Amino acid sequence: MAEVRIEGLTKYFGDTCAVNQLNLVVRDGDLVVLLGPSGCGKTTTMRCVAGLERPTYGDIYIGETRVNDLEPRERDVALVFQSYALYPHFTAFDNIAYPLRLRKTPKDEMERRVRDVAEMLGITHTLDRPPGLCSGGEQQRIALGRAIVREPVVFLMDEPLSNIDALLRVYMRAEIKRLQHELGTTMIYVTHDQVEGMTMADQIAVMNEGTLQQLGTPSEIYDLPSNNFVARFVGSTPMNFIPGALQKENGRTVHKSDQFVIPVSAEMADRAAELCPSGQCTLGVRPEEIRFTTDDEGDNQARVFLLEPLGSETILDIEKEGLLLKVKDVASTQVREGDTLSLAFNRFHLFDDNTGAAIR
Amino acid sequence: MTVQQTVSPLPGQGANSPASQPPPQGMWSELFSFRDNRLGVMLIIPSLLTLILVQFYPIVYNFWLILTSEKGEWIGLANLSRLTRDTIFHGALIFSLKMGVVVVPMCLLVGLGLALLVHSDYAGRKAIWISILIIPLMVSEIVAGMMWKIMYHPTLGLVNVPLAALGLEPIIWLVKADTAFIALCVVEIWRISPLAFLLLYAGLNQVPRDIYEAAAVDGATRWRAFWDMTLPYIRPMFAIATILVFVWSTRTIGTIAATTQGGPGRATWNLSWYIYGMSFQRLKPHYASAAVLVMLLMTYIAGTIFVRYLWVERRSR
Repeated sequence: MAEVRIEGLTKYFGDTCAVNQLNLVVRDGDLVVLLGPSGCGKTTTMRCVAGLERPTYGDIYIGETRVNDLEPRERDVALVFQSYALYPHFTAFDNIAYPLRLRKTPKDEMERRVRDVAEMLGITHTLDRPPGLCSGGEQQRIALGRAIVREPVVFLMDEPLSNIDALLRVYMRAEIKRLQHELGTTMIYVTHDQVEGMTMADQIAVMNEGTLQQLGTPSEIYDLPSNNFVARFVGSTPMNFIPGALQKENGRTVHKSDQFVIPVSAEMADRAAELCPSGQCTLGVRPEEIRFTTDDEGDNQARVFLLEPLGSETILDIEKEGLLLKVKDVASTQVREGDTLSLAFNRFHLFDDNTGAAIR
Repeated sequence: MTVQQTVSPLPGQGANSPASQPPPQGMWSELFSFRDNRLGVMLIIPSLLTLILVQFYPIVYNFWLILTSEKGEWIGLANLSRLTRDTIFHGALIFSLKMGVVVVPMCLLVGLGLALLVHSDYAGRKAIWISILIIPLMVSEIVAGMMWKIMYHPTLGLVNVPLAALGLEPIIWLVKADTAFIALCVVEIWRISPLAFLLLYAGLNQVPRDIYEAAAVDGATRWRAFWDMTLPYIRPMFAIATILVFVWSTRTIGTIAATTQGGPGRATWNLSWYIYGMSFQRLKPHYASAAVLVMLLMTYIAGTIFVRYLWVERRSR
């Protein structure tokens, strides 16, 4: 068990910069999710920690040791690959036992540890089979078993759930989180699925185009996104964005767009005046933070365009003059398509149009 | 009764249990019924006929040759029993086997080494390397033999240059039995290794890269990964390469024709050279056919052994 420290990590592939000046500390025993779209550098970062890629610049520490010049096998990390990378010519047993065999573990101890891990993961029945004869979920757990069995100091997971079906994925992500808590081993988990990130992580590192956008707990990332990329990327129903500008009206500041006029609190107006003198900023609001009433007297009126019932809640697609908003209706109000609603915006964020940064 | 059939199977006696599904009756008869597969059968016939013509007919004809004398009289197994007493034949058989024993492992080693080199990250433009390395495959046996004959020339040849540089007497390679054997083996290794290289290189390309990475993270050294990942993976290709190299090296004739002509004496007679001499110089094709049969059997037995011990998948545990 150890802390992982990444300092100024930069990785070039030819002229392409995959990771740019990344600083990240993964505390001992934490589960940190590297979250971002494809090509954001999250897998490259993890491969650098594993030793499968050499950083162009920067240092990586596992515990107190600088591992830049160590071979993967000298780093005592375990990696679960997206493709599982099981050894097709070994049985499941041999796959899980391989790291132990390389460490010359005595035969009876090896046998015991492999069986323990297989039992924990519920794959005892597959042990005699080659991976090719196991289902996707079983293969995934064999790969997991191979990582767990050797009790590494750091777990690295590269989108381990992306190749299994949705139901099993929901089950496995809880399972991995439980395992990590039980073992107390530091884990870096790479995914592009923000739900996976939100549900599993102690800390989420959101990445885009090779740079770290924000590091924080899932609720920090969700409630206080540091810029419009994080705001857009996190949230299963994405945040609504309303382009516009801040203006003074009747002595108070409002965010005025083509569609809406939304009052801004005095504190926020002060911060905005300081951080974004031009006043050009986009307002972001989560679907569940828009309140609505069916009376047609309020300021911000809009028409319901489409209903998306999800069972426990309904997503209302609301349209006004070319702008589409998604609103979450958890109270199952009897709204119908074509109704006109008055909207009020509970909690929202302002993002500077020039930099994309949150005004806070 | 119909109600029972619509009841969904209980857990544990799911759709996989034989009772819950009617046996696939008529599947086999359907597959093999001529009526339904008429087109398929008709498409196969031309290649089947060609196969019979070029493969089975010569073998059957060969048996007829063995069982008859040069005058066309039926002599039973006399040709074969004569072979058992023919010391020249014994010499040729042993020479062929000796050559196989030296050439096959050397070709596989050289081929594997080249394949690993070209497959490695250091190789750069692989296409260029491959096209250079397979040049010997494109050279005919005779040309290869002629070329090496010049190389082995006592005064003109390149092979003796390093010896001369060391102040040693030049070796007259092709006129002494033991040096002629070594010289011929070298020609054969030069000529056939590229075949092993090509096959093993193709095999290496089939190994998925991620299992090397998994092995590296799991704690394997490069050497260990080679033993645990690469070798098991390329086993089938290894078997194929072994068989082909064995066949190529034992049946060679052009190389011998171009270099030693079987000499000195009969020291470098191999089976092919023996069969050629017996058929076309001594004009005893019926007797030579018996030697052909022995050669065929030798190849067949060797092939079976290689497949049995190399190709069969390892179920390690």
